[in-house]
Amino acid sequence: MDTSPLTGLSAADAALLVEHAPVGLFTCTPDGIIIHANSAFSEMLGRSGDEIRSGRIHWTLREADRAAIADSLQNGFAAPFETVLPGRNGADIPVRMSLRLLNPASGAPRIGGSVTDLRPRDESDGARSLSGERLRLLERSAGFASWEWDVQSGLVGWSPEMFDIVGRPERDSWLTFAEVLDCVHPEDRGRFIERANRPSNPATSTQEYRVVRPDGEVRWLLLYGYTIGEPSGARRRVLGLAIDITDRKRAEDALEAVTRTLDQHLYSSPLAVIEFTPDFRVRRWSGDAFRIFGWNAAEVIGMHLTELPCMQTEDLPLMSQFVDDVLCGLPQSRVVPARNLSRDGRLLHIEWYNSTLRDPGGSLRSVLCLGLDVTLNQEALEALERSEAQFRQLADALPQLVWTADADGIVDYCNSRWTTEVRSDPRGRHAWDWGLLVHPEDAELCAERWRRCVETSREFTGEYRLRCGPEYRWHLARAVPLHDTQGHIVKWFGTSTDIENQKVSEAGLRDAQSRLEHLVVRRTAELEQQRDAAERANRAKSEFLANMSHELRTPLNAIIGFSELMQDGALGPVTHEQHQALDDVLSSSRHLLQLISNVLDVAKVESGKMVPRPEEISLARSIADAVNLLTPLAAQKQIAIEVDVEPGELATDPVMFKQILYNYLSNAIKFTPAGGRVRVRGRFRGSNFELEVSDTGPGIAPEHLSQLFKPFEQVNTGIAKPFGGTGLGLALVKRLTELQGGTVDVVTAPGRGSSFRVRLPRLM
Amino acid sequence: MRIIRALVVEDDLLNRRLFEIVLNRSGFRVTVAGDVPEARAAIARELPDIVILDVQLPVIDGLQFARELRAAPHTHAIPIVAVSANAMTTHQEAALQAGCNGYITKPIDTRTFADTLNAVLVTEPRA
Repeated sequence: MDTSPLTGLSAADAALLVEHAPVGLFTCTPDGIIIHANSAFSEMLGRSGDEIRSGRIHWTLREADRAAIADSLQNGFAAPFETVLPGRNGADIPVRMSLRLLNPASGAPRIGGSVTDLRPRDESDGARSLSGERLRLLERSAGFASWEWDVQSGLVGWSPEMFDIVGRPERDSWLTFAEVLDCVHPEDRGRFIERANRPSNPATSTQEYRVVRPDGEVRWLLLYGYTIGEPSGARRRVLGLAIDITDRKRAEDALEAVTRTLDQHLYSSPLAVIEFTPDFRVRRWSGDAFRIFGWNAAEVIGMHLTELPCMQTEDLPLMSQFVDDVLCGLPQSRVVPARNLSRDGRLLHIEWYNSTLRDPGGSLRSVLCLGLDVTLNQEALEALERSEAQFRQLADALPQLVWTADADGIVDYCNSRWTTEVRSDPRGRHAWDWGLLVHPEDAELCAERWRRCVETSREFTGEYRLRCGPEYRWHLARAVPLHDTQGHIVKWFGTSTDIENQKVSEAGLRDAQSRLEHLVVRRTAELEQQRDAAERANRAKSEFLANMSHELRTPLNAIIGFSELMQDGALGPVTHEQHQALDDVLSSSRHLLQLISNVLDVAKVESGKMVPRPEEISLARSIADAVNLLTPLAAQKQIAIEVDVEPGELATDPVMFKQILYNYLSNAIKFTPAGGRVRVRGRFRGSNFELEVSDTGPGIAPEHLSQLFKPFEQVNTGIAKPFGGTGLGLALVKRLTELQGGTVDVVTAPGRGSSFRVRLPRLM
Repeated sequence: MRIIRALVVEDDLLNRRLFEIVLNRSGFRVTVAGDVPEARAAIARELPDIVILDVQLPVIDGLQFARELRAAPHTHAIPIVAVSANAMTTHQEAALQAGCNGYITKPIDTRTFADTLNAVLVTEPRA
């Protein structure tokens, strides 16, 4: 026996009580093999305890025996029944037997049985008297009393210890039922009478009653009764033991009061309060267990720890370990964090507070597990850890120095760049005092700025030189305070960015920029000077040309005028020779005038002063006008001018158009030998009007063509000289044509004459 | 037929002589002036019927004198023909704006010059 059925009795006492109980008591396997039996049982069978314990005693299991054993296994007990046990000489001993399943959870099932001898009274009395003396001894040593009630007479016999317990004077004579009842607490008398009048079933019974001693003290008695009946079934005698359990009752009451209070606390606890039986089945499921896990008590009561749906399968080994440790009495860690499941499948983080309750003998009474749901905390913690890890990862990836400081500005974190770049660990330092790391020239300004930021709780921005290894490098620092809900700073986040390269390139850029600006200014001034000089030169040229034109025309006016007057005889009679000479003077003078006009016109075109003023002109008339002007000149060299022009109108500047044709024609006449031929041909081609002046002159070598339309270029001086001229005519034609959006070209070859062409858009 | 009095303002001596001969031949009575002060003096002596004015004059510009004549009540109706060695149209416009009634570029055609003046006198009869 390793557990005591009665708290307050030591295991040894209990064993003694069982051994000497006046009833046959035994334990057996479900097969009916007797494992242990007390002395009453061995006396009843006439065999020694050793013989019985050796397993050599079997009783023949009858149908009723099997049914009773099956009942006891299933229900925990079997109703008393009658059977026979094998006696020493082979005779059957009729007995009444009741069976009870013992300690069903620990190991192989055992069945305990109590046996009453149904043989005639004399035999059993004889057997009983054998143990009478021993019982007296036991009563004295164990402090319990015995009693006997003769049902027929109603008289009760008490052992001396019984008188002692109820505080009545001891006497040898039997007591009446009324005398006994008088000792019973008034409140328990009804129950006592009722119990006494009812046949005991099973034959043994245990009841608790209060007795009142003469001095008024109430004591609790545990009465253990055993009914001896006639073979007919009527009761004859009841034998019993009485044990004073007052102290235990008091302790139980106190315990109950405490337990009730505790229960109230536990039921209203925010914890899951789960109590397990010593075999780890759920006895209690209270507190917040339902709210936390989602299963109600009815669903889980009786479940084994390992069957609980809130447990994770992978935690089974841990739980087994826990069970083993508890059973072995190993100390439990008081707080066990675990992951459990809720009914809706969520993963819960529970902190378990486990404790075991043991009785004074050290036996496990219950295992109490209090579960605190820390899922939210845990999730928050994990989120924080993740966020922290991300922050660190990010911080290390940043191309900046990163740090954080507590509310007082003490740096508590720095990223890995501090080690690689600054080669210094700022942790534990004041955020606004990097000490010797900051260049002495920047330190004071920096500290001042920091002071202001801390006072005003604003973010800090500043530039300073930070010592990075052997050199100082420019850094741009920023720090942002994190405030709590009350507005107090709880943390500072800071970065420091190396801006040395920007600084250097900024300086370089500024330098380059200023040099460039200087250069631009100087160059602009130079250009302005050049432009001014060019403008001055151009103005000077225009003025010169205008003046020259004026200065030349004035004397020409006199020359031409007087020549005409002389020819007209206004200044006296002239001879034929004189008349001829005056013709030459006039011709040369007019040619000179033409040259002067051309010089002036080229200058005007070049200075942009000549703007075309287009109008619709009649080609036939305009061309005839120009041809008529030159007909006298051509006639002098016997040159025929043929005109072949498609009739029509052209939108062009009439003055310019005449100048173009006049210059082409005078050029052709000039270079055509006497008796030659000049032809003017005009055709509309597409959107253009094409005018061509061909001559029978010497033609022009290809190498000279590129110089042809340039001003003041003399083509082949050897040939051109005899014909005179400045070469300005073609240059003027080209410019006047281009002013009107047209083009010029020439088709020529030495010895083949020349065809000068001008192409003008039909509509300007 | 009334004799037309022409005042020629021309700084070049040869040209002055040329205008004098050409106009005398055509029956004009010619007074000549070498510059604007001489011209003012001439006008003070006798009002001409027409002024032949060289634009480029020394000391005081010819157009300045034209504006003077146009501004003064006793001279504002006298026709003025500008004669210039400058063939540019801008000069012609400037002359007309200054109050000249005609613009002739040098060299002049001696055979048609008087006719041109007469044409101006017909268009701009003296008030």
